[in-house]
Amino acid sequence: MDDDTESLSETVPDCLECSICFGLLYKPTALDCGHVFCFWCLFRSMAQWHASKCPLCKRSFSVFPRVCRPLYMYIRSKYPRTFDQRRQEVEEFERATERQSPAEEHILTPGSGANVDRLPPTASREIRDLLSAWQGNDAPQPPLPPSPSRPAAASGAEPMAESGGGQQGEDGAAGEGDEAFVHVSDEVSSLLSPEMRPTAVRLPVREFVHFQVGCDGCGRLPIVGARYRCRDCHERVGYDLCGACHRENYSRCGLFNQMHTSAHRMELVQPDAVTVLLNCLHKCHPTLPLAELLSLLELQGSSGPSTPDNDSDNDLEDETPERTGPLPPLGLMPDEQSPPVGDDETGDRPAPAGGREEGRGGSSA
Amino acid sequence: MASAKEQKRLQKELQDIQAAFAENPDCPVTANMIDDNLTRWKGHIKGPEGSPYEGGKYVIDIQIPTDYPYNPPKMKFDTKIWHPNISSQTGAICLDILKNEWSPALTIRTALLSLQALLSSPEADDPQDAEVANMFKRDRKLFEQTAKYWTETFAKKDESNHDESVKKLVEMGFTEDQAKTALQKHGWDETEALNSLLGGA
Repeated sequence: MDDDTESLSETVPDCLECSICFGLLYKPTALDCGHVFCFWCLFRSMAQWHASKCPLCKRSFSVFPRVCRPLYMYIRSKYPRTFDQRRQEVEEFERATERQSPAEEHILTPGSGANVDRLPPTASREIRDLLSAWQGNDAPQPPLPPSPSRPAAASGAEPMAESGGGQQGEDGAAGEGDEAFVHVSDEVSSLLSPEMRPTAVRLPVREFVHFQVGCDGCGRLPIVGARYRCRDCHERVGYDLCGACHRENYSRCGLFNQMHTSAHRMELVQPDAVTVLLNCLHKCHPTLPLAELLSLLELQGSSGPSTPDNDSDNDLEDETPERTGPLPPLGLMPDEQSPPVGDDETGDRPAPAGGREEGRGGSSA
Repeated sequence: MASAKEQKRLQKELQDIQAAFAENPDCPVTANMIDDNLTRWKGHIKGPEGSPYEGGKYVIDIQIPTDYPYNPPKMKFDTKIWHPNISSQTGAICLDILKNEWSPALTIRTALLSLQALLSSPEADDPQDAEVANMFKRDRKLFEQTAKYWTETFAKKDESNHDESVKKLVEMGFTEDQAKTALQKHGWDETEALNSLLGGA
């Protein structure tokens, strides 16, 4: 009740309400189509196997955007009480799921890698008007140090979109060369039917989809092509880069507040058996939606191998506990997490919660 | 088991639906929850004018998955209906937004509105019930007659039926008020109303 009386004193305009949680936008992220959502609301709406769609206009996107700094600052200063209430809610959620969104200090620091410094021009008139009126008048101190002074900031903020676009093609050329193929172990190929095998086992690295793993540099989810991970980040979500970001030596903090630094060592990831198998099945059945691939995987895997453990700590959203376990549990996904839904956009969302350690990256630094 | 955030959204959805109903008691769809943790709802849809379902009142069973709104609510018809995209046996619904076209920006209310729209414009090419769909394609007249007959038979439970149900529950020892409240809450389903009364609280 206290909450209610507090928020009553602040009337939040509709345009600052997230259309997913219906609350005041918290750590707002804006898509290229101009639609704005809370950090977690958008992230949790994203597909994990292929491109996502804007929850409002269905426009396709595959890059998880950074927090929009000016909008964050505006909301924080205009609606402090509602903001605070939201902060508590989200912190509770983050504690429960052992994950973190970008720390405020990083959102407020240009060039930290945790923010972008403007709304897309496609954002709604209302929001843009609110922001520009505020930036004209009562905006506090160092709002946008408009670009040129900080090339680092600019490249931290923007190339998401750009490198996102070019990335996939370059990737193959990157680490492994266009002709490189993913190694399909005997264990995996023994699970494939003989007629599938010849097609399935020729998996070019540049087409390889890292299910549920996103790039902490450009924000692309999932990573397609080569994937690198940090050996020194201890956060539960790990720290991953796509080939293009790795080539650029991207080393700013991760999307989830990981305390990554340039001193950390990155290594090329050898995909785990489950992901390889999933890619093999996809190669043979390119039109099958994820949920059906996963049920195939369950069939194939019922006799099958365990996931090698080497990979388990490093997925962007590794809260799906299935990834670390032996194969059969993976098959639970379509049933338990995305019930009969069973399709592209909805079938592959990460489930909240999970069961591993760590994830306190930011609070300490 | 939804987190506080999702609970809050569901509360808000419920408020919005109730506010819309208070404003216009004739609104085409309503919903209410039938348990205390917001995971089980009953929706109510009015058969659209100009369709064979006109005048019918349809009860929709709604289950909220734990990861709602990132996955769609599970909906099915409790009231029997003759429609190509709805199973005449189980009430299962074939509608894209309840499956792969779901978006977390949709709500229970918008989903119910889409269901109402589905009643006006069946999609025989994407059937849930092959028998109904075949009839729809081959003999539209017979289809309409059957659909109307089902509407009359199953979707127009009039007050006298309600009175029957209330009476039954009163005979079992509940007060009229208790009986009415429970029945309303459960779309006049006697068994479910009785269960909830026996379940206490």
